[in-house]
Amino acid sequence: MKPGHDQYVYRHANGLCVIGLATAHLALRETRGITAVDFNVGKSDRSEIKITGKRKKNAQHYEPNTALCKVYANDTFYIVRCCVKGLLLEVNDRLIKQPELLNSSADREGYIAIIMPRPADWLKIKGSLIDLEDYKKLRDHL
Amino acid sequence: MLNENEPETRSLTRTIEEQASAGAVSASTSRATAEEDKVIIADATGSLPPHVVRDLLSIGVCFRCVLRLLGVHGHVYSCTSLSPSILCAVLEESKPNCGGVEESGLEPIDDSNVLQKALFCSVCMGILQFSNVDEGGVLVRRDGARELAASVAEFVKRDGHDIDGFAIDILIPSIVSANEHAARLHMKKKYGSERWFKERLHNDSITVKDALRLSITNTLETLLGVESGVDSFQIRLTYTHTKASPNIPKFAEVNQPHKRRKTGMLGLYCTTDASSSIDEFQINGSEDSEHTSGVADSVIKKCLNSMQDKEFSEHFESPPTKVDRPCQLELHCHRATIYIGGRYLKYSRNVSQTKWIIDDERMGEASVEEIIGSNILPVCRGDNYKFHAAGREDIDVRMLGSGRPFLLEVHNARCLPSMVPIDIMEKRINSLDSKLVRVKNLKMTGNQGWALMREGEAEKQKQYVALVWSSHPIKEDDLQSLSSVKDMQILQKTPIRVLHRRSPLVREKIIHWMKVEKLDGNTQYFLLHLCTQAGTYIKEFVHGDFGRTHPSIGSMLGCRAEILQLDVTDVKMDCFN
Repeated sequence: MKPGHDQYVYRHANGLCVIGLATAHLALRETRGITAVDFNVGKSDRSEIKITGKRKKNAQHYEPNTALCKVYANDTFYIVRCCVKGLLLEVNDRLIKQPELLNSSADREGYIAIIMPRPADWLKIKGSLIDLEDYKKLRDHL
Repeated sequence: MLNENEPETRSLTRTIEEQASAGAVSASTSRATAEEDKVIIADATGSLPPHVVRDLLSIGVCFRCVLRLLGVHGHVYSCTSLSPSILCAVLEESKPNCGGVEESGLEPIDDSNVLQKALFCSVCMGILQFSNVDEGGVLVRRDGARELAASVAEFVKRDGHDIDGFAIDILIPSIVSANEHAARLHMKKKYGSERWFKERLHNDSITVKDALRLSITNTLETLLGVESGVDSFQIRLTYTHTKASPNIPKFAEVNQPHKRRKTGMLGLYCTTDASSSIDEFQINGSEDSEHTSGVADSVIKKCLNSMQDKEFSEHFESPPTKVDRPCQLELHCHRATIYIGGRYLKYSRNVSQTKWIIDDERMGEASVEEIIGSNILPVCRGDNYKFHAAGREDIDVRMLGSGRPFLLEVHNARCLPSMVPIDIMEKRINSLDSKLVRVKNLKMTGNQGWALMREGEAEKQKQYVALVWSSHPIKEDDLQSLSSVKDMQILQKTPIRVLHRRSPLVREKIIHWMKVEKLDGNTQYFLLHLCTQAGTYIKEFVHGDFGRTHPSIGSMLGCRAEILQLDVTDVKMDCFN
């Protein structure tokens, strides 16, 4: 991952992970903030996949570095990635029409996606992530 | 079909009368008196063709199967004085004009010898001789239906059931149908051209099952002191025979090549192997397995009937061979599932609705299911129970007010449904020291309780009270906007906390009304009373679930809102009120 492309992974007790932009993400620090979100990356548009049923039919399996979307700020864009390996259950399609949710509440309504990792994959990737306290210390200067 | 031979019938009647009075059987409560029995037996046996009777007996067919194959119907099988000697009478009568009437082609046989020759009937394999191998593999020989009825009655009593009636369910191995078909084929070949054969419609003769049922029902009614015909309590007699199991074709192939079966047939036989039916019987209760075995029986019959006689003879021996070992008999008693409905209240935030175990670790200190089930089961003396409720609440949510409707299924209860001591159950649960769960309005229901509980489940209203925190102090107009809500539609995406197991969907729900109760000296904490459509996730409606439930209390207040505690205060349903 590129420096400054900070993302969060909130993990629910049921194993599901909510992925989003962390407070120090470069895009959030641009003067006018984020102006657009585009889920049309890679082979498919992530917001077009219709996932159905308990077994999450049609859900795609992605790697930690798979792109989820592009967020546009000023003249540049930043690629947001999955961070964890697993099934992509949902992307926050409200962001297409309301990209400003990222500027006002990237940690809640401005989440990017929900991913369901396999328990074993989660254990593998867990060690490479840092917890909120450590993250705050790391970005102390903010 | 009777009285074609007047003098013979009359003299036969006399013989039967003499025999019956000699071996007078006391059956005071049975429907037919001994006098009536005599008439019935005489009627039934009056016109039997003696040479065929003799032939069938010689190939090892028991006398009840002889009657069946010759088209004798009805109550004769339930006569307690029915015994093999009645056929002696038939044979006796025929002796003087044996040579003249019809040419049987048989050597003169000593009649008493004929009756004892075959160990077990080549058609019913001992079933209508009331003999069988018991579950331990020990051969049990019985002299009559009374003895079998006595064994059954003893078994029922030992099983500890209180009964007010019973129904007899009989499962027989499919090989018996094949035997019967073979015996018929034998008769058709030999006597197909004779007049009596055409007169006796051989296809609608009484089945082994019905004959057995008729044989034991009256005595069983006397012994158990109740009447039959009550479906809620079933006594099942399951007959199996090693000859009917799938391994027999191998045996047949080696020893008698012409007896080999097609694989298609083999599969068909496996499906009716009784052991699988027993499992179903125990798991699903009576109705399902009754159905299954019924279907299988008719399938077999159809299959046999559709076979060409020649094709049949290729696979089976005709006439059927004698058997030296009877069927194995297993007895089961089963009471139809009883249902106890009511409403429950849950006073603890650490008790789940159903037993909840994650990775061998129990969640919560107890469950509503177990508290109710384990206290009701011993009162009904059932085998096991199953708990159903109209909806559910989370482990940390209390269930107060009217309570939530539930239904407890009790399997194989030993006590009579009409005698279930409802008040004792209620007291037992409500006087528990733990005071975690209470029940009210307990009552017995039939399975219509299901319909009651499922009726309008989706539309029903539920009332809650929630303790809510908001990130900003709430103002008067906030109170106004919340309290003015009337039948507001919300869209709820499957909450993240259940998304791992539920389908991802957007669900429309209705918030019927809301009321805010302020807490003294507090502007950021308040009580929210609300009434919603069933199936609304209240916790998500308060905090918004990352904006996935919209609108939410948070979005309406324009700040963060969190739910701290929740109680269900009313489940508005008609059932068990």
